[in-house]
Amino acid sequence: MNAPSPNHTRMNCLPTYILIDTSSSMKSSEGILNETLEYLYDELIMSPRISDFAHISIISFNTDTHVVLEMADIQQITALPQLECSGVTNFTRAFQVLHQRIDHDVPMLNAAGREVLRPVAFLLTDGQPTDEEGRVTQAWRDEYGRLTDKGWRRRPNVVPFGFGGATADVLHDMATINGVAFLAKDNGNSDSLRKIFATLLNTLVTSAQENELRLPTEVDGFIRVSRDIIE
Amino acid sequence: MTGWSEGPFARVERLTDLRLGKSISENNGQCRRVCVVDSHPGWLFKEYHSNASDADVLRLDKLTERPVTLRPADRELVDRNMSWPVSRVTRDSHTVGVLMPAAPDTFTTNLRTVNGRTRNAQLPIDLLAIDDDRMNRLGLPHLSLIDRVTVCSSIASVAALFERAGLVYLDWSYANAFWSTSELAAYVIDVDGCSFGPRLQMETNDWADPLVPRHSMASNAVDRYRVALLVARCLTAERDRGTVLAAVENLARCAPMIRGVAEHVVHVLTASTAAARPPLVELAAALTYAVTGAPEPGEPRTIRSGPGIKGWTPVKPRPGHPQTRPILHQYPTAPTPSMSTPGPPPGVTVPTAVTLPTPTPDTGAAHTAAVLAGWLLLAGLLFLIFTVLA
Repeated sequence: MNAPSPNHTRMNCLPTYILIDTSSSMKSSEGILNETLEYLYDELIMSPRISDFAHISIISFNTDTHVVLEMADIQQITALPQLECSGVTNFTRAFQVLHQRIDHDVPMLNAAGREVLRPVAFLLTDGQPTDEEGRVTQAWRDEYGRLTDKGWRRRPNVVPFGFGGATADVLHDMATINGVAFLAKDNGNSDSLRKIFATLLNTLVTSAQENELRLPTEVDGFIRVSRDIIE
Repeated sequence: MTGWSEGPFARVERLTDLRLGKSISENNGQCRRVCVVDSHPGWLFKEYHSNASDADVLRLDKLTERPVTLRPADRELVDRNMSWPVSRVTRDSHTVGVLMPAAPDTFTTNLRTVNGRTRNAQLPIDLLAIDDDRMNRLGLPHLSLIDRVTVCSSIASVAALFERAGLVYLDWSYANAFWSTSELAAYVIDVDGCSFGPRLQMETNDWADPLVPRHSMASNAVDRYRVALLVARCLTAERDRGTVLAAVENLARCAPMIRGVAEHVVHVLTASTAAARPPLVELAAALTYAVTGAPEPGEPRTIRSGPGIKGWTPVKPRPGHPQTRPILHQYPTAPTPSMSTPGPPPGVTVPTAVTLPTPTPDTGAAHTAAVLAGWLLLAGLLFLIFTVLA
């Protein structure tokens, strides 16, 4: 019998996307948003065991979508983006870009010797989906359908968090796992963003320990959005 | 210092008698929360997700009592380097958690944040298994190789104590120990999970033992594997299992004083059976030797336990014995494991074989015998030639 190689077990990694709504309605939360991003970065840089597992990319979206942090090794990052809020809430473009990034990042991680788990996309929004003119629209559903198509092997799990003007119906329809969508109680407040990022971090800590995605069942200050919950 | 020996509690305490303070951790692994005990500073209450089973109650009672029968040096190690549980905690006659010492302040440090501020936090061993550049970015002090070896020696001493005490820990990972930049020591937590004898294999990302299947019972052999892997990662700052062995070998070539450690680590990580892995006391001894040039005092090289042996008496090394070699600090400066760690010189091929050079034995007597045999052989040949010619 040959001696086993210590790399017998390849390390799993979880491609993690944080999609942040930076439309003009988020303007009042801009400071907190940037502050919580710094907090997340610090936590990850101080916990290499988490960043070994969860590879993070940050995508901001409003009228257009920007990959503000590519899925690089977080240890190599030399500057953090300062997000600015303006424009409308164009989910269609956000889902397109997410699709493209997954197709770019998953093979890259695999080529780096990692076993790649199904990506997860945490979606943070305070409004309803609109078109480029700011009119409420259902057009995002087509792109969302392509993104989460069961025929696409790399389809992500989408976990939406909503506050402000976000609605339970839309959040529910954007969640890929029934009951794993969260809406701030009483529309939320500036603390909602902090709670979302703390939850997100705990999710990554637990997932890294368990070696698989572990999603929260409840979030302080939020209600779970589920068709099965009727009261 | 807060340690098991100073525990101010009875072996069983009621939750209602404790004045609890803020939570320092919630929903982390096997516990619902860990919180400070306001009535007894320096002590923590760890609450489990569910009530402990009868078997766990017996195990915890045995575990909280175990240090009583340890030798004094081991008990000192328990107090200094381990969060060993002191009490089982009950609520309505159910066991809901344990009381244990908090890590001393020396295991916390100021870490630099992205905006240039600092944050005081406990220093997980996770932040030892990173290179100098990353340490520097976090505001951690520069570590020499001997500093890393010293911390690893502390880890291995704790691991060897577990094995000596008949305990299986298994939970070795980046998260279950802290280290101190000032004392260059480690502090191991979650000791309450230890079992007397094999326990169910634990799943921790990137720490799985390739020779022990998931969901099977695991013994100290798994501890030996995980501790060797942890030491390899902390010494080299190489976290990837695919390349950590080569990094250890390379380091040993550059820094001969860790050759014994490297041999042990490579042996454990490449053993073809779990049973072939040498005991942890040998790793502890190799690390102690690398730090001080002498073995751990009173530590037998190999554990031999059983009826009729109640302890071990340290013996002084004999003159000329390898243990009396010069201490490490007299060796040339070793490279530190950083991005700038020098590789082998140009043109030198790095062998992939795991065998490392072994010390040359003393050959003085053999040399004399060989010379004598040569002369006898020559005389015999001359006698034969003269006989034939005659």
